[in-house]
Amino acid sequence: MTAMSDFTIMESAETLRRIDKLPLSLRGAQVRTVLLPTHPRSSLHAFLHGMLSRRVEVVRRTAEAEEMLRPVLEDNRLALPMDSWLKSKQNSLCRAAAAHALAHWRYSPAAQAIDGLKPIGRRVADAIEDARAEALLLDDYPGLRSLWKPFHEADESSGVSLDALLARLAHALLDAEYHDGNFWVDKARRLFDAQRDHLSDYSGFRHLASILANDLGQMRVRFEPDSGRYLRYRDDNTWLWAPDTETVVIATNESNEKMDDNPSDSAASGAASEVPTERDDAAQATALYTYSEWDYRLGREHPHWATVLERAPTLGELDAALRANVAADRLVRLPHCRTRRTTHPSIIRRRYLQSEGDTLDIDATIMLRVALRQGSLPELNVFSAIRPSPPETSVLILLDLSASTNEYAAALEKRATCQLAERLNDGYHRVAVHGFCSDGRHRVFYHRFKDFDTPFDEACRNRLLCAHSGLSTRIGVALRHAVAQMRAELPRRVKILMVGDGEPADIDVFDPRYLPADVAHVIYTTRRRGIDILALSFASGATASEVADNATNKGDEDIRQSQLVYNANTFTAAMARAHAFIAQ
Amino acid sequence: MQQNRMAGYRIKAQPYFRAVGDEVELFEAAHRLKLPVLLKGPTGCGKTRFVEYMAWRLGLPLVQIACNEDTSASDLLGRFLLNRDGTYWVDGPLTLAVRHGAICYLDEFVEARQDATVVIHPLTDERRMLLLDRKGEAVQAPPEFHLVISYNPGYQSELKRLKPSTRQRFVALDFDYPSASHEAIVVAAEGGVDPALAARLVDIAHRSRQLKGNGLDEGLSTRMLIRAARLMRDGLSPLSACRLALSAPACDDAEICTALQNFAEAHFSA
Repeated sequence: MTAMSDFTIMESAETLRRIDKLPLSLRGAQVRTVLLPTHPRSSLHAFLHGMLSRRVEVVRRTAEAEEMLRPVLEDNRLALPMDSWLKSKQNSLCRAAAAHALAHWRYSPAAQAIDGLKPIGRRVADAIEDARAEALLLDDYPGLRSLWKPFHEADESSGVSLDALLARLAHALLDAEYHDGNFWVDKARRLFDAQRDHLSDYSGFRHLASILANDLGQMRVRFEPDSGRYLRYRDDNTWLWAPDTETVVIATNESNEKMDDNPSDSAASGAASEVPTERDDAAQATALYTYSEWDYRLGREHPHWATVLERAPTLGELDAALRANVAADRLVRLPHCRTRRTTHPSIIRRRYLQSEGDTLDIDATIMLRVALRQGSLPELNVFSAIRPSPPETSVLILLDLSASTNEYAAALEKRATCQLAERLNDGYHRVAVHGFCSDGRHRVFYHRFKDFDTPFDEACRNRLLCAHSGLSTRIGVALRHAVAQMRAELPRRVKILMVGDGEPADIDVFDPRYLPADVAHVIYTTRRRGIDILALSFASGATASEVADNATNKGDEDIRQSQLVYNANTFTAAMARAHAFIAQ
Repeated sequence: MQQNRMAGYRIKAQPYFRAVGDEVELFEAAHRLKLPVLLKGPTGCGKTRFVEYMAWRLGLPLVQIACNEDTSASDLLGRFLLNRDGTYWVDGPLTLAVRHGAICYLDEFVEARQDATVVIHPLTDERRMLLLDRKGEAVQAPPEFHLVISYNPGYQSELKRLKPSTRQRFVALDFDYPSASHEAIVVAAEGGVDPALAARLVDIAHRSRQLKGNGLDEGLSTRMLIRAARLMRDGLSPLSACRLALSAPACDDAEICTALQNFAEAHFSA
């Protein structure tokens, strides 16, 4: 467990829900028909992103102890202790805290040396820096004052403890109409106002803070740690100060020891990645392509991050049973694929009796003249028009050839692919069959079993049936390469049918959310380009039913629909689903 | 007669337009050499206003056509209609512009059907003629005729790209939102508000443009800012005007709308 386990990403419940609905939740293998309609983000993220021109994380900080009541700021992250805030005030506190964080990110220098500053001096310096950063931001955005002002409630009745005095000082510095009456607070305000024309002079305000801290010492005000009672939207200011050197050294030593403790782990992972059948040199590849990959933590893509190597697939023995099944599948009548005849490019419909069109419909025109001469009401739809027919459909079947696809599922995938490739060879569709597996981000192997312009003949079928499954599943990169192939097929209707277990994983990725988020991103951007995607997954009967049960228990119809997993018993249904997708 | 016919297409008063760079000179050069012009840029950045301004400046009538996915060749060229005596031909807007030597502005041209994109090809090369195959007529474009098309490359799908065979017939001007100070001058002048208020509106737009691709297809446009400014000048409170003209129409995502309104609230108190 790391310190990070205290946080849950707020970006959020909705994001996680969607990502969980993606291949990550395809634990044990399932089907995916996934789409992220948008990148779900909270208004806080969007607000900070817009204001800072960069993306920052806003996370929820679980509040278990008194010290954790304040927000915590990092370079690219704001942690909000929402659980310790009253529900009725959460919204306004979140917004105020985000605006305060914005002030620090914009104007406060990070990791300043403490330089022997006493605890009471640091607290005063914190208060002055908070006020300085807020004042600078208010110069540009005066509307933010109304966000912060309701939380400045401290006044004379609050007392003269350190906490109360600092809160009263903050009140006086933010609200010009507030008059405190305490000598120290009034003096602080006077000195602060005298420097208001030089708000960007950080050192000048550090000097002011040291004068005020010295005054508190003379006033015999006792140091007390921050109770978190006042101004709860403000962060704990740890971001402002450099960490204590001693602590850093200890932490470093600890982390080194941890690494030394598990030498066997690294050896084991190295051994696991050695797969002689596929781990050949990139020289075997016929072509090399690089693609970016989406990092959900940064909210952007790593450019040129992964390499696709096109090469011939590794072939194994032809399974006689599989071959027999494929032959038997040809005899099975599927529900008729409802492809409209108009999808054939050669059929262009001239439509008659149109209210407008490019030519006159002679018969209708004659009838109109007849009607006019008879004095009866004529039919005015006398034009004919050629309406553009829906274009031909190109379908790329992308087969997952990774090791996670077990023998049972692999056989089903190959059967499905063979059946689809054969049945779609009807003159109305253009079909390509490609496959992939991966071995780290620079070895995403891509195999072309059949291209759009090549026939699906016996040799091609055998190559597909004999293809060896191995290594990992970097779906997002393979999908990017598949999409690149589809560009040449435009402006036909283009569809990608992914057949596999839908579970992305690779040897160099340890964050379980990373690859699913990348897949979600690719699917989202691909669909926006007008390319439809369906994922069809197969699993053994037990796994499939387990997934189906989970989906049912969640009671979410959407999830249930999108997590359909097919097995041998539901193979026909899987085919019907695929055909419906292609025909729609 | 011809003059009367085109009277409605003339720009009577000088449209407000503040050049960012040398776009006026470039357009005039293209007009002198009879080169068709492609305008690219995000929505609401001033493409249409620029064409209106150039039509006024060159003293030419302006025929504007907003293309959509149902815009066909017949919609541009014209078609036969019926009356009691039989059929008669009615010129489409493009034919009208060619016959009368106007500027023809095809807005969002990439949305039009494929057959519509092809009919402009003979107009865009040395032939400069429009072929009315239904009528058996070839209309030669006079020297004044100028074809201008525009599209927004930002949110078009792969299926809505301009084909190279069409694209390469044009010279192109790239439009984008101007710098903050320039945009504030435009908003102040067009919206009728003081420059400080205009600068605040422009900052809201700049914040929103950071969200392009992160929840927003397009940031807030200059056109939207001008409308917000006009609502404020008309007496609406700044926050209400921003909600009405900026945050609510920008998108349908409630969280993004809230963030846009938060940008406005950072500038203006309730």
